Amino acid sequence: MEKVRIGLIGLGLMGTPHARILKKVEECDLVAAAEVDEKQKKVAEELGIKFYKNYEEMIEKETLQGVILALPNHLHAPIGIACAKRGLHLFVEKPIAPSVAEADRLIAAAKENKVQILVGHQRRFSSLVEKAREIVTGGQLGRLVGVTITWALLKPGSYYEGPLSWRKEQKGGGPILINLIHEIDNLRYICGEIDEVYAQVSNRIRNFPVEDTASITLRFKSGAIGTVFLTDCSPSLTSWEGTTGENPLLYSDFGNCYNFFGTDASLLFPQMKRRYYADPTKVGWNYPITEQGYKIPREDPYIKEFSHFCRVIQGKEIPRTSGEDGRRTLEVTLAIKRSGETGQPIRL
Amino acid sequence: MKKVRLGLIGMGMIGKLHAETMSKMKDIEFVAASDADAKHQKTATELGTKFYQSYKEMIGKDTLDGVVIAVPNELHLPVGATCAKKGLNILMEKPIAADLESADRLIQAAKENKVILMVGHHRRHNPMIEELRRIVRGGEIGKLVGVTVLWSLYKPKDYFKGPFAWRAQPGGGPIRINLIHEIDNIRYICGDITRLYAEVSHEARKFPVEDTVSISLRIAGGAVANIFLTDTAPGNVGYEANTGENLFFYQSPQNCYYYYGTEGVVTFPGMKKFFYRDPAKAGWQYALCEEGIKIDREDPYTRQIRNFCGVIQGTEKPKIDGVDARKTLEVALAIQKSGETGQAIVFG
Repeated sequence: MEKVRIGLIGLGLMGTPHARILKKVEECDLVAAAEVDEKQKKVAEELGIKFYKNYEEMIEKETLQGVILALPNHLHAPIGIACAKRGLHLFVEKPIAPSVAEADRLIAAAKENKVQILVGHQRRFSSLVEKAREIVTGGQLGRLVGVTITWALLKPGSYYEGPLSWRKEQKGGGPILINLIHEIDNLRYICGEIDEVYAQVSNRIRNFPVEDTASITLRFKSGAIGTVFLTDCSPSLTSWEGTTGENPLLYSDFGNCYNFFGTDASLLFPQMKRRYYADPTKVGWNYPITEQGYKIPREDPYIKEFSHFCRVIQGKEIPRTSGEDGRRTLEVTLAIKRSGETGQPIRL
Repeated sequence: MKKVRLGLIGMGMIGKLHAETMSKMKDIEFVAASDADAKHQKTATELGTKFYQSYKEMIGKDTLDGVVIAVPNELHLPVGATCAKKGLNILMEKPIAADLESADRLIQAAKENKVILMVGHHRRHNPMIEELRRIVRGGEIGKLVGVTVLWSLYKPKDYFKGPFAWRAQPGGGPIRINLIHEIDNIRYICGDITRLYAEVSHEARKFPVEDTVSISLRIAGGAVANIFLTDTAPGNVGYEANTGENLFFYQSPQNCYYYYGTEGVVTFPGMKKFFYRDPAKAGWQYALCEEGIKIDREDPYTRQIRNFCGVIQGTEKPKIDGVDARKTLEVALAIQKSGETGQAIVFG
């Protein structure tokens, strides 16, 4: 089968690593990249792909099947819509858009022009998440009663400085929109729809316009409930980044950051230890508990994700994170932010 | 100094534990024990103490300095008030009373009769909890950012059967029986709770009483906390399952509390402190240092009785008096109410 012809829009901090990964994806023919900053031309040359300063020129001149948008959030909808109108399938980095209304416009444009959207929640392609989903949805924990998530770590001062100071601002910055959205998407993917949220949010440590800490409760459609504790200003490794080792630039102790609790068993994640009572006549807090491990293959989630995008374009697969799905993750995440502001629970 | 003369009222599960504790203490006089059920005579005899079927007879006949009261919650007020009128100092099992009004009346009765009212939140006497309090309040982990508490122990079926059927009814569940300990620990270690929201569920067991709770709290000073509790999942994580304090419960080496500060994190009961040694290398890309905290283990129940005696002799202050314990009960009841109403609760 012929390779899928892909164009990349945005060859900056995010787009450059994407380009390098795309070159490794078997199904993908990375044809060209567009980037307003002409200095990035050397990256394109190095990778042997064409370079455009103007994305409109790229999508007009090149025969492409899909585009990957690695752009600031506020450009997702306008550029995504322009590409959809040209019949190009869309890969949009998370969050799908800065607001639900913009997400809706993008989704509608994709529908009208009969193109697919895949939203870049790459953790859905982590083998750890895939396994956790299989265990939970496959009933290996019995009925899910609850889940707890901790995302606690220390971002260095430089994270919020210089060109990155937008991360301090309410518009698009802060750990809820940047980081928590991943946890929410993981939860939705593994445990199902979230229909109620409550959050206490605080900025008293960093004193930035955005939050630095949040304590959250959730209710799932299934009836399960959960808690999420989030902070980016404590020296901790109890977080996705500090336990999974999936980001080689960050330090990890391979501990646990999620707990899933079911009526028949619980699961420690990402160590993937399932706890249950092996003897049905000896069930209860005074009896020994058995621990079962799982072998998880180590795979690069980005390669899997982009190769999935190519197969979506070929019509072989349906998007793992559709536009509607990405929109819902955004909606839940924004509701958490709003609950923190109003002090009231929000039913979705 | 003259030995303190103590009596015990109620010889159920926790009463028996008090009896065994007091019988082993050389520096006190365990004068007598009482229980409406005559079958407990045997235990009293074995432990070398007098037995009464009527506590009124016991406090009428014997000269006592104080009583330990371990009767069902709704009897806390009547039995406590009767003892107070007799001028007896009181160590009342937790919770202080069945409701806030009864707690107020008991506090009043103790005040009027000038007797001590101490409440059996025994965990405050655990040296590990005391050390945690010292670390948090002493600023050793910087400003407190947040706390996470996990409690997932599986109550066996017979826990709810026969004479214990009340445990499946409203008021007999894990909020008042188990969660109240967690609330008291947080209050003791960090300070008062100013705001809370709770999701309460009974979906798993389908009993009238709750089986799973997820909570978000705000603590005076601004830190936030999450508590997740379930008594219907094989998690084996929680104070009883991890501290080794009561070996009736199967033990797993896991942490059930995390205290997150700006300068460090402390885990409990692992009693390890995590921090970045070099402030120039503080952040998620750097290795985290780990330091053990040395603690001499000591039985909290013995220390509790010793504190009670010290208070009677006027040499010590109670670790937790009636007014303090009433606040713990108030928070536990507010959690129940928040779960029922779906509203956040703010404390004045």
